[in-house]
Amino acid sequence: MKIGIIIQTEPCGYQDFGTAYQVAIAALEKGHEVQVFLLDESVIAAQKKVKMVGERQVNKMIRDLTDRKVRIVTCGACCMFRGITSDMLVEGAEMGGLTDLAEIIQWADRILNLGH
Amino acid sequence: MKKVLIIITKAPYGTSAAAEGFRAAIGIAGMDVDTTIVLTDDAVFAALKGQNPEALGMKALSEVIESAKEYGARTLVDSESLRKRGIEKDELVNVEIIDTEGLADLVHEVDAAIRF
Repeated sequence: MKIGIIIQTEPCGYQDFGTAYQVAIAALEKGHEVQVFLLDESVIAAQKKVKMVGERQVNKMIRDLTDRKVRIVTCGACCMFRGITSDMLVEGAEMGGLTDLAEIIQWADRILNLGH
Repeated sequence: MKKVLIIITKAPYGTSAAAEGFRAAIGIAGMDVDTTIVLTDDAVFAALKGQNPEALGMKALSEVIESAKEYGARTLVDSESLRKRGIEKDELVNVEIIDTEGLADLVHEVDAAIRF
């Protein structure tokens, strides 16, 4: 099955990113395909300089997913609003837009939304 | 064509959630996704006539409802949320009202629901 995950909350205050990561890994291990769209505050998670010391190391999770060929796309306008440029993103994470969100919706058999 | 429901639950101003919900709806509706917006809880205030959020530097979301319609995304408002807030239909801009049962049917009908 093709699973699209849309996250909207920021990764420090909310558990959603970690939940999405665990769901993605579990799905990949069962042979499903996963794509992730980072919308609104969640784009913060894709920055390479984010360093959360302790248990939830968000950029490690991002790298782990991109290493496993998971497509991770950020909302470009959401990045721009927050001063995030493409050179600030973890390698493998794409700067995208709502066109990519529409594509992921069309691609996926199932959408999982960790929303506001 | 994939069907998506954008569920907006947050008040129109104070957080970016409602505005982002409309932005995402317009973005995907323009990309061949059958998009419906539903306003529930405090988001129903977004459909009130006579909004003037100029002092907030925001565009009135009641006008964005019209723009969304031009892109093919219609907006529905939850009757129960209106009732709890003492809002009558004649206080609203041109939107459709949906009851809880109708909303439940809609959730079953769509391929994905994204919450703002």
